[in-house]
Amino acid sequence: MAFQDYKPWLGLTGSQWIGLDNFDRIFQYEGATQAIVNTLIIAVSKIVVGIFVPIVMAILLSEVRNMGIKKSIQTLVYLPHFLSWVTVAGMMIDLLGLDGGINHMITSLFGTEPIYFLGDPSLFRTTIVVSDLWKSFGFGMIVYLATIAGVDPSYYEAAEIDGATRRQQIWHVTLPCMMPMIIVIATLSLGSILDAGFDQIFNLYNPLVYSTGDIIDTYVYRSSLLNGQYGFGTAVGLFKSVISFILIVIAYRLAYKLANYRIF
Amino acid sequence: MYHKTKGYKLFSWFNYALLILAGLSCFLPLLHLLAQSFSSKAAITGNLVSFWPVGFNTDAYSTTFNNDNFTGSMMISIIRTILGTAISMFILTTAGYALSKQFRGRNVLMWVFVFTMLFNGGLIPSYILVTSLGMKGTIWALVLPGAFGAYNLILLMNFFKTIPKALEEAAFIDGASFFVIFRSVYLPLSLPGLATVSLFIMVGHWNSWFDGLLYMSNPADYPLASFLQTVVVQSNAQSMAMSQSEVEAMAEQSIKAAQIFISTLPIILVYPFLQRYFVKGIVLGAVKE
Amino acid sequence: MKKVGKVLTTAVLTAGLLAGLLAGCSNGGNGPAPAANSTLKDGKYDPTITISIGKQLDENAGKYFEGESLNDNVLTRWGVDNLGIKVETTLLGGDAAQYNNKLRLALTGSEKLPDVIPVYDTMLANDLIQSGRVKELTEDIKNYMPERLKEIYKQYPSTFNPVINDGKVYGMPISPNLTEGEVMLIRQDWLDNLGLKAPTTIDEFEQVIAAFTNDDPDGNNKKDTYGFTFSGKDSYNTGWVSDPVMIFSAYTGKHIPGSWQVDEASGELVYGSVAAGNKDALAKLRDWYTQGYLNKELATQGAWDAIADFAEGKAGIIVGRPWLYGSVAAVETNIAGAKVSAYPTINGVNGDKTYQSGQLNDGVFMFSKDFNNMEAFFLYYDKLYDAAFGTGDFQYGYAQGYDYDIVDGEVVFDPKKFNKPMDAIQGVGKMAFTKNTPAVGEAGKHYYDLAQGVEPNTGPLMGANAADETTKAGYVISYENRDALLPNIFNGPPTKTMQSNWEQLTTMEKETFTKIIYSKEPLEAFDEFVKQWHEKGGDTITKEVNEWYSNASGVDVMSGMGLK
Repeated sequence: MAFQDYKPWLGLTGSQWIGLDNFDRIFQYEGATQAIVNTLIIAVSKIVVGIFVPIVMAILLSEVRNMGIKKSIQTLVYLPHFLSWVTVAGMMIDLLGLDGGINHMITSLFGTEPIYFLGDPSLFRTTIVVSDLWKSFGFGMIVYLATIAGVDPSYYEAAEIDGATRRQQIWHVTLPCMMPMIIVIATLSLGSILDAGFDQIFNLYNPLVYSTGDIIDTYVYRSSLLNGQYGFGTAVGLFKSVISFILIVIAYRLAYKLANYRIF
Repeated sequence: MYHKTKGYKLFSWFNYALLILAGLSCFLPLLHLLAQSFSSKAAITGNLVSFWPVGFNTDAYSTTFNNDNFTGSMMISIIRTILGTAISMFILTTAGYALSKQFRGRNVLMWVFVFTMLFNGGLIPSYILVTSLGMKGTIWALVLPGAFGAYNLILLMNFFKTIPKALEEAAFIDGASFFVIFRSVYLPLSLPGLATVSLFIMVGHWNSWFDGLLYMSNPADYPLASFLQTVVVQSNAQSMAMSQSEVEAMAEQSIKAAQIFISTLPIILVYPFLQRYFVKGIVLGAVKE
Repeated sequence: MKKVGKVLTTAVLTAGLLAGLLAGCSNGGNGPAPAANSTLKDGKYDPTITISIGKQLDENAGKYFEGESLNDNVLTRWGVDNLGIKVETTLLGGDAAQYNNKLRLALTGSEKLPDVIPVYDTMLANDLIQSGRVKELTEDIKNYMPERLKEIYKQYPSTFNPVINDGKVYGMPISPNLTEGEVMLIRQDWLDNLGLKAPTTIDEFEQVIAAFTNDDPDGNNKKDTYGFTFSGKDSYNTGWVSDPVMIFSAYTGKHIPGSWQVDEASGELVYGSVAAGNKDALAKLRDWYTQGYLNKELATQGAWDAIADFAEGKAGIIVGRPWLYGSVAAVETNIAGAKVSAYPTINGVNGDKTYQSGQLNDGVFMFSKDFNNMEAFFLYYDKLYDAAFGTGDFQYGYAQGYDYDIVDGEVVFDPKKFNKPMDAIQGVGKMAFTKNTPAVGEAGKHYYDLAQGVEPNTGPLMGANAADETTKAGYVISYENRDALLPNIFNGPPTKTMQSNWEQLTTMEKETFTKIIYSKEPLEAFDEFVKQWHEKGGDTITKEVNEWYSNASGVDVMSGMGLK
């Protein structure tokens, strides 16, 4: 379908073949390069931050001695994951607006001008990444908590006996044991490297921040509103998948060569 | 067990503070929703509600529970989630176990699965496939298409890999078959992994709304997330053609908030149950090296 | 053993994929519908015939009474009992975007199209026509459309444009009627406190919003108010609420942003957003923004969200349709002394009225080629209009106890006063074919008649009478100013160049306008935008639009349908 001018009533065999035209169109768009750049920047930031923070939080949480607090925090932090972006965006627009709660705090504490989180192109990407982090870190932590739970305590005992402090234990026992899983998750995240989060951006972006906030998916959405062109949409999807595939293969090979670890 | 140095105490305090702050930041928005669901329409429009209801009333909840569509959809979501998770887990655990071994053609098979994770035909082919297999409008359209998720498969496989081979070998020597080993050794030892993956699958099923809207023609068959989508998103539409009657028909914010809250409740309650499985030291002492 | 399980799964998946491929290749044949054996006896069909319809979404979801549902409710039962016609929804969208998707998917042949298909997207209407699966209607309309409906449809020939192809008509507009226009809602108490009158020109407007921002109109010694709220996130001509279009129109006259209108000089269609006057409007808006007279979040808030500031008592003026009052009335409840009044929109710099988008219809009906019961459809459709005309079974509303009630011999529309009190009425009219119940009486005529002293003795008049004062006043203003309503003259499917370039052009437009208002770009950026617009496809598109226009206005299909 990606190589056709697909019309639903003509079906697969009836629609006209147009070769690479659909793919050409992706690049014809003026903002195409910008959209791809934005997508990459946002997606990579999300992946990096989205791996790093949950790991740190998981380790910190596993250090908590009080079971009650530990369990409640675990449950609380994974709540935002269940709200849809429509709901969260609504709250965010309220909270981060020029007259919103956060800016009130900032102006009264620091006496500076309010910060236009959602309207300043240079801040927009950061706002997106941080809010996405907030929404998903609790959930991302779960895998790491499970991994930490699976670490053989005898390792810790051995380290203890060798005189290691808590920090050294974390560095030399916990992290290495988590490494395989971290690599797996990192590699699998490459599969979504060109998915910078349509739902979130669609609900939060506005004309002021198109230059930094427009991603491939929002562009495809806007143009397909006009023409329901399935061929084009499929071509874009194919394009994204091919890139992801290449990246995953590279990561797989790297992990194998460097760490002698087969991710799958 | 740990040296209670002063540095450690400081770290502990800092840790608690940070975590509690994180927890609160995640909790407060839901508290805000909860407050809205108990508030009066005028108060919400006037933006008077922050974390505590203003103009307290339980109308939103009584409307919601009397709403057959809502409760019906909730039932469907529950059925779909349980059914879907059970089927998925069965397929994935058996597949993951097998794939954690080496055998002829294993790598090829693995790459095929990875391929499916990345490449899919898009909307039309999926739709045609589901419809021509006769699943449209039935619960199978919601449960089967996503049953074999390669992402979860890879996760499970890695959990299985962490189990020491020595255990398996010992069991072989004792005359156990693959199946017995799978059931009695691997499954019990990878409980954290199983808990994690089943949680992912459950959440995936609970939240997925697109397939519900796509494959179900009768709104009575919508899973809860699809139903919510029509209620919440519908009123955020930017269409110019919103007429007076459409606007009046829009659900009030308090009802929306109540519905969002109620729909997140079941899945939130599942997690504490699964937390038991995130326990250290299951492999303790099993292997003497 | 385990391997077997996996091989099996893979095999099933592959088989499934193949099946899918094959299915995708063939076009499922649609057998002809069974021939109608029903006959019309005394206005009722015997045996009952079924008409299948598509619906964008179920507006009454969650609100049905006990025992009622989408396909079995008070209105469907009425249809069966009185007309022998059963209406069944076989294709439900779920939301607007999904509906279009599902219709396209239905075209792939994997399922049958419903008999009656409401279509809200011009591109989709064109696709349906191209697919050859929809009925040509000239004869049917001529023969079966009742006279009173013909009188209505005669008045709106342009609404047929999206469904005309090669001189043939493939659909008909849904309940065409001039929808009510927007009015200016102002905090009357603020005007009174400051001794001001409602503005009628740009300069007066500027004075008022300046005063609203700086002179503490709510008397609480805090600078927490501002003048004018609107939304610019999706468009600067929203057409229903939070609309800034009057400011633009003040300088450009008829050439409102986002709309194609006829240029007096050349007689051709031109696009409003590139008219020269927009530059002055933007300069004004930019100044107002810098001085704090406007909604600071106008770029991030959608139309519906931008009303919040007014409803919370922060903003003093908002433009919207008269019924907007109902949604912002909370301000009167929450703030002591607050009062909202309706006024006409301001006049332009040359003394002329300002214009706004007009809407003539919401979507079109298209019919599946195999549908043989057009006469039955028109019978049902005509009955639905009873509510609008105030005659017949539906003279007061569609169902007693649902959208109206008779209490102690009096007709009552306030649901809280029904025999079985309810919080809100049930939109029974929506249980039939369309989103909106048919209406006559353009732009609020009923309210105007009432204001002229006409007795409320028909359903629609009584309904209008039951509205609150501010809303009524708003509708009267809307009717009196209905000549300021300009429907977009271009209502055909996107042209060839539009399909590839239009999105880019509108993005550029939104960015430029917004950045100028926020002072992120200088005023000259507008000239650059106009230049780019023309070069990057705007000129070609204008040509294509005018070609369409001469075709559409040249062809006469109305007489063929008996609608001249």
